[in-house]
Amino acid sequence: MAIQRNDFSVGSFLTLRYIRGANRWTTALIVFVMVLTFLNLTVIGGLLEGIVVGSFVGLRDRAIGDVFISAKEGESSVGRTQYILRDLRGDARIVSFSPRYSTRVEVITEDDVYMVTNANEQRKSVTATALGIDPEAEQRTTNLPASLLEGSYFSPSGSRREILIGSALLERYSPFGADVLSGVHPGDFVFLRMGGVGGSGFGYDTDDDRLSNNALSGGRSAVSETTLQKYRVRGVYRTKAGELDLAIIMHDDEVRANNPIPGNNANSIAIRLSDPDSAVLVRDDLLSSFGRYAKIETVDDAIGPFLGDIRTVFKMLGSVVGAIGLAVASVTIFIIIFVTAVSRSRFIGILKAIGITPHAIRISYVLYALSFAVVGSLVGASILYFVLVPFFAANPIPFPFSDGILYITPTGVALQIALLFVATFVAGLIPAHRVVRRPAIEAIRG
Amino acid sequence: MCARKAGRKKVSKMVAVRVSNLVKSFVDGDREIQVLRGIDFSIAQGDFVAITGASGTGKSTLVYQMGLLDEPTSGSVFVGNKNAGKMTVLERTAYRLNHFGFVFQDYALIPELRAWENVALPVLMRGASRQKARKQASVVLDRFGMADRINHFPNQLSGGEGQRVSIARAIVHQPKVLFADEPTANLDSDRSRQIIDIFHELHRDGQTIVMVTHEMEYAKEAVQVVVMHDGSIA
Ligand SMILES: Nc1ncnc2c1ncn2[C@@H]1O[C@H](COP(=O)(O)OP(=O)(O)O)[C@@H](O)[C@H]1O
Ligand SMILES: [Mg+2]
Repeated sequence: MAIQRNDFSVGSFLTLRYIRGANRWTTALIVFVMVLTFLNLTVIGGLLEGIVVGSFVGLRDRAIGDVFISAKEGESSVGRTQYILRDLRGDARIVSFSPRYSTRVEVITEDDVYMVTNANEQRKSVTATALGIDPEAEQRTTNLPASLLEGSYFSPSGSRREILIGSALLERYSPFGADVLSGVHPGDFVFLRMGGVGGSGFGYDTDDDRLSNNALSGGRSAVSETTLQKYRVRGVYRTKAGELDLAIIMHDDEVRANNPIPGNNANSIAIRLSDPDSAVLVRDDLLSSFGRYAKIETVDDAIGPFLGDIRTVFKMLGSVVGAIGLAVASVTIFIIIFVTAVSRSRFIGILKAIGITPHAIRISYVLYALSFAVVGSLVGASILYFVLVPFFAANPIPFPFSDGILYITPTGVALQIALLFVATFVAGLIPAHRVVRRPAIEAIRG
Repeated sequence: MCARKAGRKKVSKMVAVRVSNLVKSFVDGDREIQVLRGIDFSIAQGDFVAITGASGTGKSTLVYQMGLLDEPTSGSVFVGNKNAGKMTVLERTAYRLNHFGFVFQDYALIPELRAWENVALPVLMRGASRQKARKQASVVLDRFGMADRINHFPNQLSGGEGQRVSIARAIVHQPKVLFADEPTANLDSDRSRQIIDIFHELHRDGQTIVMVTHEMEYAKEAVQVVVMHDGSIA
């Protein structure tokens, strides 16, 4: 016989009374288990995925923007930069953009420049990419000041001969890095040898060849003082966006003066859009005009399939952990309902004797089990949305390559709640069914 | 044994429950014990039947058979004009709900349910709204002098009160037959008297009653007394 409305009516009537009559502490404990299960289901996977999403978001927001223009394969700069910039200025979808001019630079600490006197002594230097930017445009596009770990951003008055150093170039932030400087702090001076070192696209394709020190190794006397320029370190930044942290950043005119590129072409342009979802459209529009002169990518294109693959693996790991938690919760519910039903089998017998249908009794226990899942996921979702998500947004987990956030989506959470409900339903129904199946007479006879 | 009260009109009596050559035996290890040894017996609408006899003679077993709570080893049980042997478990459950009420020796109330909630169950199961079920339960409890105990839980009630709630639950849906298995066994004589009086009152209103009791004093007050002896009707 099919389940009828009356079965639900009596079933839910009984459920509410079981809840009312249950021991408060036992109930709290079961709800606690369900909350943990829910969080285990959502948070572990969410954090794992958040590491990947965090690095994606980091690359977009702190390094390359929504759309990124760089030199075409085999070219050293973005062709027709000035035409591109004119178009970008006229595009209402674009909030801001930042052209960058780069050159290879050799960085020598002040100590090394003055202390090395012996001709056989190797002067300690590091080769990096110098990125020349317009500080205001860069701030609007990638909010570079927010990535500062030490010191301060370029001042609006436009003081020159100042640099920001990427943290990966400094020993104290990158203790295992190959080419790192030690003892360089904001306010210190460094010497840069620019020009003739060779330009580079952005820093993503840095060839890590250390420049030979031959030109300098003859000792101070051999160093041409005109090529060594003294710069003050204004700050140290960390974007966690790959090799950007291996660069030093200065005013663009200083790079351009040292490494003039025909046509005033930039080496890359980062573009921020008002709507990140329009990135593909903007890219395609730009490609149709300038595809012949430059490489134009969305941030997704730039990342490539690699992060996506990691994301899939992490998602799977999260599901495995969640599934184990779900199994534990199911067993817990199973035991609770089984013990509850067995210890009440006499009353189940009485209910059946007076004509309460087995359906209604099963429903009463299944609803009882589900009520734990409902409260558990309500409390869990509240903790998730009102505590954990804001917490991890404010305090990202500091992974070396990204700031891990808690990444959850409403559909994902809805799916996990549905999973929890299905598991609870089955875990409640099986023991209820086993107990209800017994003949009423056994229970009544006592 | 049969005793008929004077003055009661003899209408064309419909049979409420009838058992025919009813045998019930239990297997105990390698032995088979016959508890009911071929009973023929019927209860008419409006009857008040007392089943009495020594302990262990099969009184409860017979009531469970007539109340469709258990199935016979052989023989038949007819309820109304239906052969219970041809009914499914769910049909028997539905029949109990719609036509029978049960009172047990230990009241058999559901501990998490308040007095009115226990009484409301059969009404709810038959499709009434919660308000209607509550109203009906209150009316019946009120009738048994339990108006101020409506919201009590079973463990807050005395034995006599518990049994009155149990009777209220058994008759709230106006069943054809009320079965009571030793309803006074756990009560002192004053309380027992009150319960028996309730049965008389219900019977006067037309309620068919089958009551098991080993107390001859109460059994004699019934319209019809059946004495059981060793699985047979004496
Ligand atoms: N499920 C059972 N299994 C074995 N023996 C049973 C069972 N139910 C009842 N009996 C036996 O049947 C006999 C009659 O029991 P019962 O009907 O409860 O007697 P009464 O109600 O007259 O005291 C008793 O001897 C009892 O032990
Ligand atoms: Mg008995």
